[in-house]
Amino acid sequence: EPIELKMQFASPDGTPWNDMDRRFAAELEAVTGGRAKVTFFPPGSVTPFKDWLQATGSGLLDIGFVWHPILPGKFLPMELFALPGLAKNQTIDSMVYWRLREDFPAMGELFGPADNVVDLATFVAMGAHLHSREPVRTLEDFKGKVFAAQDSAGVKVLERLGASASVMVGPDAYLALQRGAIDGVLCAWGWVNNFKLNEVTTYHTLLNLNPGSYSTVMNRDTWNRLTEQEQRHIADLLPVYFFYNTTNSAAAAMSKIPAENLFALSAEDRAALVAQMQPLWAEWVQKADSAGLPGQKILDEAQRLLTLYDQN
Amino acid sequence: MTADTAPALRDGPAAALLESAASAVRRVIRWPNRLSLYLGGLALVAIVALTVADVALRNLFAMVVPGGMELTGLLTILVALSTLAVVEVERGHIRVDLLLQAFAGRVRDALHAGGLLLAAAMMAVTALQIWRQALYLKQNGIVTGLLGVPEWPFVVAASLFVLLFALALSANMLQALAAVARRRDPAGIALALLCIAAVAAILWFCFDPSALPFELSRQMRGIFAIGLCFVLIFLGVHVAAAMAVTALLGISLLIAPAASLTSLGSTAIDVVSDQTWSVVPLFVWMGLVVVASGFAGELYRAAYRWIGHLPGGLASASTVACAGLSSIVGDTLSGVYSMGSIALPQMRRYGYDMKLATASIACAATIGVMVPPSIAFIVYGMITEVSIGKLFMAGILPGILFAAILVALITLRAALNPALAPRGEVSSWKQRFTDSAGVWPILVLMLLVLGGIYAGAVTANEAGGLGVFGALAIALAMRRLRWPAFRQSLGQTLRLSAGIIVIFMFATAFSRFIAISGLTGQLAQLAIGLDLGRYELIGAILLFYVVIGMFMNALPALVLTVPLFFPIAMGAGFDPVWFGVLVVIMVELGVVTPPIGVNVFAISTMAKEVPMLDIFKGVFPFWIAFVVLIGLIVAFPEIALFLPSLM
Ligand code: NA
Ligand code: NA
Repeated sequence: EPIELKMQFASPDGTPWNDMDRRFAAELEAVTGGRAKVTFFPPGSVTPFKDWLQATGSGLLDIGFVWHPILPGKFLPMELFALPGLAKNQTIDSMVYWRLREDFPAMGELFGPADNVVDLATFVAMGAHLHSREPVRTLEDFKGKVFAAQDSAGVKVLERLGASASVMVGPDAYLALQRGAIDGVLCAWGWVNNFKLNEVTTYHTLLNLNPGSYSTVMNRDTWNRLTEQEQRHIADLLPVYFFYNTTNSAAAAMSKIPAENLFALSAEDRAALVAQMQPLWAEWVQKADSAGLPGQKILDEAQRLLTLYDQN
Repeated sequence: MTADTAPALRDGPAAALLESAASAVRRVIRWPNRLSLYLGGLALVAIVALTVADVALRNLFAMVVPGGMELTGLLTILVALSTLAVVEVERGHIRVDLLLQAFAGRVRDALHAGGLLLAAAMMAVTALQIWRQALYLKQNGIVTGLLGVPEWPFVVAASLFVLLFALALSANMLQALAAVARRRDPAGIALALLCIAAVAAILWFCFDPSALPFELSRQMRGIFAIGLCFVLIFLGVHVAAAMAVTALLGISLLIAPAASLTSLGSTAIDVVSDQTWSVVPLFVWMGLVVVASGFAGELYRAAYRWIGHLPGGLASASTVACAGLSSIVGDTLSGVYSMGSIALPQMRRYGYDMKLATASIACAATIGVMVPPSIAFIVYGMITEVSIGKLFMAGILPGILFAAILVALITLRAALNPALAPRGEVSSWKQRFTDSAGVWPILVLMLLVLGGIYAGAVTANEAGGLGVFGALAIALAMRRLRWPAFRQSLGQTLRLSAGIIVIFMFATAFSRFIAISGLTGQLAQLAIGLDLGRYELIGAILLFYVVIGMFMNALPALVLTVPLFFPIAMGAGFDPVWFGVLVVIMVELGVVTPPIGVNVFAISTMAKEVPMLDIFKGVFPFWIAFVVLIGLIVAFPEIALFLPSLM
């Protein structure tokens, strides 16, 4: 029997993310031999990011894109990867997450029965960089400035670096930058693409801070309508799906930026940054402990694996 | 008769019973209503305090109040919803009773009762879904990102406010039934019972769409739901409730009740917890403080001295002021409310026709979206990969041109029909300068608010908070505002905000239903499929937007339609920036197009004595202004493209 899969784009036409969604949809249709047909809806037209999980669980959509930082408190395991200074890059972070799930199954328990979804794939996303109107080359340059951040994790980092910051959505960040109300925005390249923040910022400090993470989920009832073979096929497909996303967004955004406007922190500054963020790491361990997870063991293992993979 | 007087003796037992039931419900909600009003007032004062603290700290010490925006978002829930029931008790919610007035009294009473029953039932369902949303947030431990404040208590409050609203609607419904009973007219009673049955059927289909006695194709389900919405609105059902029931029934029919119910609850909370909404109450309050302290009167006395002898002079001046304000704030509703509260009582005082007065402000505010900053251009730019900077430049000249066209139209109409705007004597220069002496406080205030935005010191929301603070400070320093007037302005602000935000709450749910129905896509195919030439194609697209504008708000309309038309327009060789300007103007036309036109709704809440029909009638001549503007931009694309070409 034919299946309609209702899917909403995460970002507008012509962005790498949108291309990825289209490719994923084409694969789903192919896997089911054309039995499943994907219907697309424009970004934000059926549900905002915040309700995407509920929208998928209730059947409003069949496939959902759950951006974990938008539901603070619900995805404690994923907050590990948002710890500032811990992340290496998107690929390594995601591989480490999958390894941790094997050793600590609780790390993989993101959705409960009430959510009524199947976790198709969970990844760590790109880290955030600072996009600013004036150059920010050193940790000292952060002090006394006013920034926007894509999420509250970013705000906490910026405040510890002596700047002040508030969470802003993309369009507001564009306006605030254009009017000069803020000095810059801490966000991933995907945001720069989607909200055209390169029109209103000149300089880019590469920090790779507190990446968010996301799960692609499917409504459980819809999933149950797929054959076992189709389900297996989709599971096999997903690691590949992920790699579409790793570098495209960054490459698309960075291609137009003159090299002299891209900065990286010195090794000393980088180490100082990690040192300054230790209280946030300790806070996560404590929260994990009180949720019944071996917080310190998980953190240590994550660090070991991140370092190991980074060297090879 | 009012709720508190005893039922008249000549009432039959049924009418008397219904009346006393209505009074009983009103008694039950009286104290909760008063408490809600205080809560909402405290929340609004807290938002102003947070905003002022944030702006001061940031500009003086480069610090922000930690989590200020999160808290503002949560407080906005209280501000937006606390007075829903109060407004209903005062019968202030937005309804379009175009058709209702045409019926005989007995029909009108029956339909009125049925409409209130539907609204009460919908709000009860919404309250329940919001309650479930609170449980979801609590069970999943969801907190705000920065401060870790649990969101669920605020959502519980929202649920209770909506429940109170449902109770207030029930009281009015019982009273409407009493009116039916009092007539002792069998036909009227039969019609009322029929209405009750129809409401029951509609609700039944929301929860069990398979019970629908006829088969509908997917397309027809969407059209059926929209048709129902229009009928309900024209029959005088609360606009918010009509959209709510359409969204619920529509999504139930297209997907399933579980999906539609979840969407209703989560959407309702999303809309009212969005801190960007705080801009509306803040600008409303600023306007009301300016009025209450007498500065508005002085401003218009001065304006009257200078331009009162010109045809439509005050309306033109209000138009330019409204255009300027909403352009800089970047928000249409803020312009309507702040200028509406300031200008309408004054234009009434000088004998202006209220159709002209209300319509000129409702239309002038749309300019705010053409002149930067403009969220509409940002959304268009995001969807199409067109430079937002260029779009911003492109909107400036059309915005100024539109203001000029509006002023020309007002002048022409007032010259042709002096009754619309009685002309004053020409004042002497001495009088002009003497009467202008009192306008400085309002000029200082505007400089603070608008200059702050332009200089980049504050965002639009912050400017609103600063505006309230500034207006209160000036009024207090000059001893122009007493405690009762202050309280009254605060209460009025909450009432006006609740009236419009509840519309947006369900308009958002409604637009999500439209997205799922795929209806915009089908309409677009209709326009595109005709295989038209270049200018016929633009004509068809513009016509499409007129139709869409009847039932959709600007931003959802952009999100749903630009992806459909943009590739076609590019294929026909049109300039992407030029096309963006046209599309943004067209979706803005929708805010003054009946039956669902938010600017008209907003202005009508401030001019209660002007029937909705009259305001829509008043807007109609201004459609000419839109047609002239669009015609000029099509004929001379340079109007949009000249400034971007300089970049
Ligand atoms: Na504007
Ligand atoms: Na409309």
